Amino acid sequence: MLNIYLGDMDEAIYHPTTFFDNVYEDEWITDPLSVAMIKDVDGSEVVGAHLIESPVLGPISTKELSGGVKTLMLMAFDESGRIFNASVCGDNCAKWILKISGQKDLAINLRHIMDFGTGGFEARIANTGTVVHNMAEFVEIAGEYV
Amino acid sequence: MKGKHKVVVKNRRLHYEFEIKRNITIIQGDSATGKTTLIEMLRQVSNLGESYHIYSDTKNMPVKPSKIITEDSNAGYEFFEEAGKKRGILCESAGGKTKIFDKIKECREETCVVADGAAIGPEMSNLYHLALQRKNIKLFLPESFEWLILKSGKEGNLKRVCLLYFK
Repeated sequence: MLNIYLGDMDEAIYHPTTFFDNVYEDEWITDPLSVAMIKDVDGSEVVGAHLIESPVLGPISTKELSGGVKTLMLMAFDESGRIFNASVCGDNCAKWILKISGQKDLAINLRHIMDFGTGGFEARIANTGTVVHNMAEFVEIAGEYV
Repeated sequence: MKGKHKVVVKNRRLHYEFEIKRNITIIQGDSATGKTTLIEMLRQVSNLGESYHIYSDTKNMPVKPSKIITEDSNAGYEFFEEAGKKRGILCESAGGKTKIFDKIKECREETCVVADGAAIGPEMSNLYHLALQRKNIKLFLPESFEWLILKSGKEGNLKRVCLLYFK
């Protein structure tokens, strides 16, 4: 289940990219979920835990992955219980957030209206306790808080 | 800052080229599209930092609203109220740009929001997403009411300018 805290949230990790750079584990990078997310979001191939092949930048290190995909990996693998600012993720990360939340309870902080696409989805808005099922319902509530 | 400024920043692998014409730039986009990389490159160049976000989705003009919501309650509102009367369009003021979202959320009829594009700022994202979801909501955001007047050449032509947008 996806839980969304809308608006400013002091306890959330505001800049997940920096957090990721300091806590990630090598095995996160080579996990099949990460390999798929890196391929889809960044368009890059995971060569190994320390090397990514980017079609634009050439060979890059893990720390040069996009902020969006780093945040997705934190959502998937971090076990500290922290909540991450998902507004650093582009809309192309939204389907992965839904996928991760389909496998575990996931809480995120959103400070903008993320586009979860035209399909249905289920998310609980922590601010109100309301469960939304599509973008139309989400936008009406999110607009009050972000 | 006045006018447009062309920014070119490049290295052996990357080449960014864009025009800016505002004091504040907001860079938005999907992950991995080069926002951070651009900033990293700009960090090496002093005194660059403007941008201009253009919401450039489909134009649906002219629109045929049954209701117009204006941002302000003064000259702009009075003009559109008068223009609306002759076309049977109800005109209401939101009483400020921060109140537009709440005002239009309840609108089920064909509604057009008229607000100063130059001032709408942080409210834009929410209004934009609501308009994407609710096809009865149209956003008409000229630079400003004063801009409309200037564009019309003289005040007498203002109605003609607005007819470009409203039937």
